[in-house]
Amino acid sequence: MKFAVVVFPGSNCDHDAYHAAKHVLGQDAELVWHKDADLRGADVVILPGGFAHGDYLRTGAIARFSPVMAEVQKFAAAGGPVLGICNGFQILLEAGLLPGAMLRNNVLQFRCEHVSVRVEQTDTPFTAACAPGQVLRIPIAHGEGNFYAEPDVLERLEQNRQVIFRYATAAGEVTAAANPNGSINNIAGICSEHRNVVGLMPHPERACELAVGSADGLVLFESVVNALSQGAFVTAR
Amino acid sequence: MRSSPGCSRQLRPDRGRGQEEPLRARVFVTLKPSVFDPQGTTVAEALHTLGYHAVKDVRQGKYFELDIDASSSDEAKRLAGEAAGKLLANPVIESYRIEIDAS
Repeated sequence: MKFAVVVFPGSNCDHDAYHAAKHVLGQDAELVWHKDADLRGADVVILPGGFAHGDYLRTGAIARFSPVMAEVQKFAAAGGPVLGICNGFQILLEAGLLPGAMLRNNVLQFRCEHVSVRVEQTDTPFTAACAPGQVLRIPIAHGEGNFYAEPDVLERLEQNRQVIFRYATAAGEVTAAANPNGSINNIAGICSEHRNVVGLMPHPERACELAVGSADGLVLFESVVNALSQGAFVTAR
Repeated sequence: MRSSPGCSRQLRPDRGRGQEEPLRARVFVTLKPSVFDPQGTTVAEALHTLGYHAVKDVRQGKYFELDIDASSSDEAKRLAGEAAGKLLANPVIESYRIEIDAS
């Protein structure tokens, strides 16, 4: 199974994602430069965290026009699993692959800490191996992770069960105090209507080995490997 | 790219207006009223700390100057509108307004 990790100018979690796929999971993985309009036959695409194009204009606003993004759009339209992490999530929002937008954290701090995130849905390629309601302890590192959607869009997200992760307490309770950035409905991650595109602000790729404090993020990568090996979310090529 | 000084453009007043000097479009991007603005709120608080209690609210936005080769103000406005809609503003959270400088 092959992971493509897209590298934008300013990505800084690309090697973490690559390491998780290649060395922790032992899968094939390749870094793909944003100007290459070729995903190298990948089965999974990851848009990593960082500050693509310096976050100039708005987070993700310029990255969405990179040549590789047309390929990511095609890959996603064909049902392929795409994971956007942090800045990758922001790029997916700007590209219209996921609904909503990011505002600056309501606390006006860059939040860099481990948080608890509750898995809301397990019928996506990146949460299939999770238990419903499972709480993951994974880090966040962002200044602009305050998820916003217009009321009708938010209602549709909730109705379609597209909210995949919510900030919660360690016990799994969704509270205002557990919300690090002001995200509406404590939303930490969502999926597309067809469920194959997932974006989240926390960094599962930075929590794949106990040596770095938590291995709770590994389940996202295990999920997609399992899902694909069982024939789900495989793109027709 | 700008023409070099002393080029022939000033000697050819018969050419269309926009072919010589670009028109300046001013694009103002602001958060929609329904969207919370943490930066603006913080700026307002700072102003209150400085004693400007008359300032009741602050909304922070973005301002762009686009110099556009266009044959008319309408064309410049149309192009600036496209640029704003595609890139300068995010329609989910922002709206924009365009002014074209009088030539």
